[in-house]
Amino acid sequence: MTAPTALIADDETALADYLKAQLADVWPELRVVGMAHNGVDALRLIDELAPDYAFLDIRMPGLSGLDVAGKLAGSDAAPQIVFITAYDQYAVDAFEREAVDYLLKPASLDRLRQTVTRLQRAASEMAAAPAARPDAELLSKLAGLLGGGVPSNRLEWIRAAHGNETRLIAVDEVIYFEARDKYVSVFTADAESLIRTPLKELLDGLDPAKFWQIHRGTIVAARHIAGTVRDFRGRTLVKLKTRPDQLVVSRAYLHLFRQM
Amino acid sequence: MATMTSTRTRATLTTATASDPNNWHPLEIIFPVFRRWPSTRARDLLYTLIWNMLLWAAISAVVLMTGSPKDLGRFLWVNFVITQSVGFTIHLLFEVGNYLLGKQVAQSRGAVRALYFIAIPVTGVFVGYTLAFVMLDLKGAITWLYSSRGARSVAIASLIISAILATITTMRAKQSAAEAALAQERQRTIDAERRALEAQLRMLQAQIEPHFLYNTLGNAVGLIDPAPDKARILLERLIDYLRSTLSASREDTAPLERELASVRAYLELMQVRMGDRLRFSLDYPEALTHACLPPMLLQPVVENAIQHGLEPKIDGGTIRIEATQQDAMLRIQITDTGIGFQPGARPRPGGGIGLANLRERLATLYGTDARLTITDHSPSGVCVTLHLPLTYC
Repeated sequence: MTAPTALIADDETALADYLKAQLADVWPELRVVGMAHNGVDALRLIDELAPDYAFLDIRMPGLSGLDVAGKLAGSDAAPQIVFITAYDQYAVDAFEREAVDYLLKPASLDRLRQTVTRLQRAASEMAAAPAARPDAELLSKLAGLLGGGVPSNRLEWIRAAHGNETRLIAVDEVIYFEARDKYVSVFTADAESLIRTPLKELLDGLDPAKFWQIHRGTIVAARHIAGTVRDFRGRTLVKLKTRPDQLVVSRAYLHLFRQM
Repeated sequence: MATMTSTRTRATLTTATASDPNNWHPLEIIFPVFRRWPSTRARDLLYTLIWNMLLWAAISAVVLMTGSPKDLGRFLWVNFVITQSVGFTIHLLFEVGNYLLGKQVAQSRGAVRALYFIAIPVTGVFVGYTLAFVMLDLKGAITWLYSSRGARSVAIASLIISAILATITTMRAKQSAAEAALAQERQRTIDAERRALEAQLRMLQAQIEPHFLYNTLGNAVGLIDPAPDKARILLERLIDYLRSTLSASREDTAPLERELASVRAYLELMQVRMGDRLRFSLDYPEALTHACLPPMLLQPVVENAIQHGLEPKIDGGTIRIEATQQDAMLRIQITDTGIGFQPGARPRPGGGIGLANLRERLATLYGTDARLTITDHSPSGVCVTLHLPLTYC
């Protein structure tokens, strides 16, 4: 019987080396055939070296540990996977709930021994423990549980022209948008910038709970609204907390303020 | 008759033109409900009309209670014309007077001020009555008005007018003092809230991520055997970092030198962890050594650049921190060559929130005097520029 082989992937060299040294202690027969420091290299090396086991860090540049496992899912030659994660109660809960093997960084020898025992038992039973070969569905579920894994189509940053530079404005900072002739003005606490994205398109990328359209040409961030006033013409105007501007509410959107 | 006259002349006392920020109408001093609408010329004219009507009703009621005039309709009409005429005349005179002398009157005190507030109502009563009698075609009444008896009536009336004016002016002064006290109280509350908010925001920024701590300690343990020197550097820098981060919540300001020292501790620590994937430079002129900064302002920006810019990039990159003086402003620029903001990329946990938090802190501390700009860095990465008012500590 040939010696079992393993690959370790962690972007922090010291952590990868340390795990290698610990494994040498608790599992002397295991041969670490490859070390990767980003997700892309990890995937390539697994492909080249076909190790029996892969210890994958979750947070890695290029591809995350979950991404790498996802790309391997379903293939027969896939190694058994142990995820490595820095302490994070949510992560631990997520792994435990889904019965995926994981190690906490830095792993104590005792904890590592448990994992090794489990891996060896699975190998001797000649049946891959299903949990050690997570399928794509499980991985995407995990990615969701760990947060930040699912790309959202919500707008987070806006690139806007301000004078002759392009500024990045976090959507959270925007107080209101106002449509002008060809442009849309983006107002933050201290500046007005221009974007070309039409208001209608912006609306699709904004969280309707946070941004309210109050007029055909105006979208305002709800948390920046101080209140409303009526002017002498009977129009309802929105007063803002951090800007002196008053925004007209058109009749179609008056229902937003009925209780205020 | 004299008493009636004097009561009627209270009708209008607009003491400033519409352009005057201290503009007020006696109606809004007696009845606070009228303060709800901001002063405009049209509003003040309307207020004078309301005031005249109220007086007319009051005078009519008093007269009707003390005895019934021969021709009730005629009495009400004459009285109405007189009230309106006198009221609007005084309104007009104050408009003109304030237009010509507003500034001088506002600065004047005592006798000069009293003279102004006596002269206008007295003139107003004479002119207003004359106009009313002309309109009503009461020639005999005009003759009476300019006789010695008539003049005496008006003279007495004017004394009473001045007394009323003095009362209203005093009421106004008291009201302004009360408003000022209230505004001061409100300002104190706002200041207290601002300080509390700032402390809270600073605490938030000074929070140490468990992820960071465990990874760093994991590295240290891993380095003890193979590279004890590196392990020692790592732990020393970690101690520096923890000390500055944990003490930041206790002080209000910190010199640039110290803030950058703690940033350097963090970067050196990360350099041990990331190896040659992280390069950095820190530059500031000698003169800015003691420039004042709110503690923990830069740290989160640098941590952001590492966590969201350089760590996710396979080859890593460079982070450059540069402080310069620009006129009366301290300008600090933090540039990284990381992955930058990619459209459609995974949301960066805390990325936007951290910056929103920073912006809020700047607004709390400096109002509109500080600026935070974020731009793309070419060919990749992000450039964060801070402009703060330059002070020394």
